[in-house]
Amino acid sequence: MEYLLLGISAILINNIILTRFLGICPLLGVSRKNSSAIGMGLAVIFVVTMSAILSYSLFMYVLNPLGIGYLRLVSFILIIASFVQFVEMFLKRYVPGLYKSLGIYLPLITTNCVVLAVSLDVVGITGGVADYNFLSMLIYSFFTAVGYAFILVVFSYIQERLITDRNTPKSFKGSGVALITLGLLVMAFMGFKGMI
Amino acid sequence: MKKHKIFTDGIFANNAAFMLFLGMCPMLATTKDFMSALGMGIAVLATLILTNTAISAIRKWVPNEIRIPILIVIIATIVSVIEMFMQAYMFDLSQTLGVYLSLIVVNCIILGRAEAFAMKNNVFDSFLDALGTGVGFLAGLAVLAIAREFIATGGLAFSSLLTGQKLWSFQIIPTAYTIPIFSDAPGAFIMFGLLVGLVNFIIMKAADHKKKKAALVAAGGQ
Amino acid sequence: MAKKQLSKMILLPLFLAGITLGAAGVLTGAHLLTAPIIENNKDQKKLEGYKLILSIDPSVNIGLTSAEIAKKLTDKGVSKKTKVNVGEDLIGVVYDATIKGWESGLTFQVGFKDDVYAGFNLISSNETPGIGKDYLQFVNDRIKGVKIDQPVLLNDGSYTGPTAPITGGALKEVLELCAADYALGDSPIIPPHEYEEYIGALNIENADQIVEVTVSESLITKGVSKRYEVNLDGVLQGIVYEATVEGWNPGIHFLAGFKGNTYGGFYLLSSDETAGIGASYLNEINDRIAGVPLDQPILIDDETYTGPTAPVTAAPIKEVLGLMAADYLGQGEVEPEPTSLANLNAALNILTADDYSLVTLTQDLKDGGVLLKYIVLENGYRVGVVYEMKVRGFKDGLHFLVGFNADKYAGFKLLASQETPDYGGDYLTNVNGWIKDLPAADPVLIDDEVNAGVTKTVTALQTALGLAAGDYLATMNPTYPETSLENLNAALNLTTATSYTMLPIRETLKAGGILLKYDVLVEGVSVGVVYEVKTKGFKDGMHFLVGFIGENYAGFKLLASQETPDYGGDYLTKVNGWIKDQPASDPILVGNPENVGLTRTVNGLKTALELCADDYLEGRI
Repeated sequence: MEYLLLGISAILINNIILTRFLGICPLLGVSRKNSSAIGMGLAVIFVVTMSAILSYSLFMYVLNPLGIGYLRLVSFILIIASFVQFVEMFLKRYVPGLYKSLGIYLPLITTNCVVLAVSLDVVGITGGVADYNFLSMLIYSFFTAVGYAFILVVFSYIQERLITDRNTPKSFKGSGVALITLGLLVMAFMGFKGMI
Repeated sequence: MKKHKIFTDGIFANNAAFMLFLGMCPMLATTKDFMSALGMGIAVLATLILTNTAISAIRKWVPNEIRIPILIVIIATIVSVIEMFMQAYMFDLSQTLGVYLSLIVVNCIILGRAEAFAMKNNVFDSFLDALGTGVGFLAGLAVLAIAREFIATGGLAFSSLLTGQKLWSFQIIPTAYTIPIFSDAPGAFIMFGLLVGLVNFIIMKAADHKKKKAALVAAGGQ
Repeated sequence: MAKKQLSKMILLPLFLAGITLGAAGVLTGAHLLTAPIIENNKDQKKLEGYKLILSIDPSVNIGLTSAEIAKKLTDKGVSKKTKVNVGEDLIGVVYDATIKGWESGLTFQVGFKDDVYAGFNLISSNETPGIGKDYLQFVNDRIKGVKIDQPVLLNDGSYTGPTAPITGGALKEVLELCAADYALGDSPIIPPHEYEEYIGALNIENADQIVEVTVSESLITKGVSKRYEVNLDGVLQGIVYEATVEGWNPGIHFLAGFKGNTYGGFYLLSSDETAGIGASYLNEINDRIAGVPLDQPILIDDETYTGPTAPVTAAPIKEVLGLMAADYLGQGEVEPEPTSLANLNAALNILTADDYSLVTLTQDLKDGGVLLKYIVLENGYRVGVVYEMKVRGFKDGLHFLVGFNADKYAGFKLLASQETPDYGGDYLTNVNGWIKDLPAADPVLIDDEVNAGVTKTVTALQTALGLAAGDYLATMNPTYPETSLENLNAALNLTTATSYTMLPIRETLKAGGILLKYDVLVEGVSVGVVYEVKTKGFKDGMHFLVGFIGENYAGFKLLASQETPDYGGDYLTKVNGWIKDQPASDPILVGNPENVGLTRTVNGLKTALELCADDYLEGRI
């Protein structure tokens, strides 16, 4: 039950883009087309979850017991970078269409704040006890990424309309109106706040 | 390239925040008030300077195939060190910035400038570029923060970066007329969007003006 | 070509690894440099926090004493509990804690002063700027001054600041936990051993409080050093003894637990026994004794036992466990069942008793074989005192009741015996007739002729009866000197009383300090009732008379007191004036401005006066 709540809250209430402002760069860039948004979303879910698992394991079983927790930033980012590289090679070989449509945004998942943030989140330790056990870490990272992908896709539909709209003032076209729309989207989601 | 142009490009033409839309994550989070924005900007500036110069210094020895991972390791190391020193000597500021300090690692600006400039230019130029970009980012943060704080609270508050003590604050707009939502997440997005629109507007007007001027010159020169 | 590629494939990762190692080295260096400073920063903040929270001027020197923290709090992240003193005065108590809000590492201090929250000081947090972080900035203002029994950080309509449900929820839980702990006063003693060890010795699920209780001398000489009560949520889970005995080598240090009517378990703390022999034997003990009823022998190392044997180790352990079991049972953990009213009546040779109350036994009485001590009541009035005893006569199990009334033996009722039927058994059937109505102060059963041949039975009885009688006379039948007529007059604010009679008092009144009840007469006609009371105010020995006439208090006469002269003492001199003519049915001594600062004197008085008033009014119906 706790896990279900964890999942729901990660998507709706504590959505990583809308409440923590993470992962916005690719949001404005890639979500112009639906298909690439969905593809990107799936890729992010995969990378986030796997990186969280790897980072968590590395931290809990190696870094922390050895007392070298301060190396986590370097090691996590290396894990993420390598993993993204791996995903890139995989897609290039087996799903070239997706690889092409994602273009430069695929390697940019490495610098996507979401991935690193989730990895840093799950290795918190309070009073000597880890905050997340393996299962809750899995659920948290997976659903956070799903929440991210969700917004990505939703926003791509909105963007489609925004781009073809003729009434936007010239100076606001592109990023300007996109950001304002995002703000309104956040306001809408704020309604979920009291839910849990 | 003229030295001073490298610098000014970073602030205006290639402004990380409003032009290139890099490093937006911390932008929206830390611009709630002026002092945190200032703190964040300084942190990014410091990081940029260190990473650009360090990477530029070793650019000749970095094998091309693995340059991205190496850049990342260097950046991550520098950010970790800055984080530690900030916690030691500017404790309150490190608390204010929180996890966004760690997230500077994935701030596109750092990697972007390292890859695009520092790998291809000498140390001094890289230093100038870092300075310019950093200041530009800082300025962007500051502008957004001031706008948000003004409308959300009616004024500005200043406190010491080192000790977190409140120094001075003033309020111009009476509380009844403030719009607090600009303090919150939606306001961040909206205000940023508005500012982007404003900047675009100014640029377009300037471009128009330039075109007209060129046309005039061309016409008049005949 | 391939060679170059291969060497590249090796060199590049190596290069990367090299850089990474270099980076790790740089980081380690930076960490070593900064870690102590960061810790110092946090500590500085904490130290400043103590003064900040309790509103102590930064320039004042404070003394800090650490107090032990209950497990309930440490489980939730509370790391320190500090009492803050300025000079001799305790200003307040501050708790340090690190919890997880949205992110982990939310370190803060919360302080309490008098009966309110004194303040909240954030040391460090990783909460999200804009949400949790902002929320935390308001916490101090929200909890400052709130009474400790009130909930804090409520997110109802009245709160209009930034919300952060997860941060707020986690914080609220710990703050209220600290408040509850503060309200308890000094926290329970942290046991000298880990909770897990007590839990292991009893083979139970959990425990949250260990209370050390005294060990009887006989056990201490055998190596038993401590005795603990192990509680969970205020309910006793079992008793644990700690002992050190010598087996093959000295220093077998262990905990043995007892619960209900069985052995709880055995937890070895340390030993120097030989590995494979004594050490292995010790490891088996817990499984062998856990759950075994206390009346069964344990650790029988005969053919049926197939584990490691170690006779030299086993013997002292067995002996000490047996002693512990006996002590555990003898201490009344297995409460003897009170006997029937019929038996109590028989022990007093009366028919009309309808109730009883039990009196706590002293160690001496228990050692002498007394199981229970009853005050036997009829309609609330005492009609006798009965001792239930079990001693060894010729045989074990000589179980009987002996009753006393006034200053005499009232009777003897045999409950069970193993004495030889024609000798001790026969003798016992006559005891009731022999001791009834004899003075309790005199020795009994001294007819040598009758006693011939049953010496053991008789000696045991004499000792037991003598013990009971001695205790009865000393504690249960004191006679109070009656007070003077002059005092009785004063207590009624009269001058005309000529005589009085004594009225019986209910046992419950005696418990409240009422010694005597006088019916005061003028020319043979009752004019009022006076109670003589001895109770505790600020000090013991507050001895006075309170009188009632009609429906009201008639007066108050102080006989003796140890109250502080300028405070309670002074107050007492005025009581007569204050209560005279007050209705006996109303609460007394309330709302008097002179009550301030004399809480204990006033409460002691008030309780006693109202007790008398209630009894008086009941008697008038």
